[in-house]
Amino acid sequence: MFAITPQMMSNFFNSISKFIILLSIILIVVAGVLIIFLENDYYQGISFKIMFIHVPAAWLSLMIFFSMGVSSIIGLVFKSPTSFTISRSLSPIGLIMSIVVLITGSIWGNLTWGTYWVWDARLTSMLILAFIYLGHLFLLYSFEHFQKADFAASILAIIGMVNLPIVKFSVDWWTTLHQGSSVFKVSGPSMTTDYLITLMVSFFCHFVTFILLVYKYFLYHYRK
Amino acid sequence: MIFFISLIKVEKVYASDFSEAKLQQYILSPFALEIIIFVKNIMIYFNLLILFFIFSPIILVILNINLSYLFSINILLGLSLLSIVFISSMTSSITISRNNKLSITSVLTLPLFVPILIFSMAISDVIDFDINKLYIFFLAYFLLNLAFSPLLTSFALKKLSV
Repeated sequence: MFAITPQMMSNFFNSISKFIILLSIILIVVAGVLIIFLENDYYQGISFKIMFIHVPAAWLSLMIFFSMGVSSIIGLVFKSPTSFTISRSLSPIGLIMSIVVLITGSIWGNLTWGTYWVWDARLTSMLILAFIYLGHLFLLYSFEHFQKADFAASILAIIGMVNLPIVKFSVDWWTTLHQGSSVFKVSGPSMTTDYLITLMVSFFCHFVTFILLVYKYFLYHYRK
Repeated sequence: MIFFISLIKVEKVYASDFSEAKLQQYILSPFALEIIIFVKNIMIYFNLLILFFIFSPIILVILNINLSYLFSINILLGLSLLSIVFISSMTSSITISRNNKLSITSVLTLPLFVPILIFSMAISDVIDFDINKLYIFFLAYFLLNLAFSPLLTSFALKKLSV
């Protein structure tokens, strides 16, 4: 399974790229229409619609770091260059996603809480995640030999995985200004179906765009 | 302040060991590198602890903290300091053979140290220092760090310092 070469990955991405581009366009249109025609929230008005960028970006930034950690472990254990290349490709996208989360969160926070930033457990742990992404990128470009850079960055990705449960469960462990989980709950999602459908479409839209970006970065690193 | 002093100290120790080829000797020695790293970190820790014990009562007086909390706060800070030393050793070993001179160790260490900072600050806010959930998180993070840090440091040194 781990004998997948970068050439095979590249061929696979090439074969599905057109389909992904088409799917991405369709999802952007559908998500845009759903967001525009969705009723405003009773308390927050139109400002709550920022959620459809904020929440998918947050999920993706966590997912990307988890994927980076797993591919780093695979890379270190099986010495697989494909895993290292995937990890390299994921890092800048994860950083962008975490910055998007922080910026949209600040704007939303200012509209609802009256402040752009509080040293809240969820916000702080997300900032830490952004710093780990930044450190990972710094490491990737601070070595002369890319194999050494991959090793160093992989170790950081594995160490950084300890932050993921802190980000996820920070709202449960501490009393925070940030609201608790409202989708992935044992008792079921606490939002209405129309909001939930729009959120899911928006998430898939982000996810497909993320796949496209990974494809571009993967090709870039592979050719390099 | 303690964070930056310990970070600089650990980074300097590992950098000088690398430039003097002592790290290669450690790797080639018959002892397990993990144990050498562990002992080395403990020695750096004791070195820093002297400074820490001199300044901590003065800082408590300056910050107007009740001296009856001296023992509890010292224990907390002592454990945090040990964590910082181990985290710094990991990040120093990762960046040891980088080719540019830009110091990225602090960028790498700071996010990993923040959980320790959050947990220890939250514990110090609890006046009676009871054993609570925060203590468990703090100790769990501390023990994880103590267990895995020498392994990852030695792994990074073996792969990156040659």
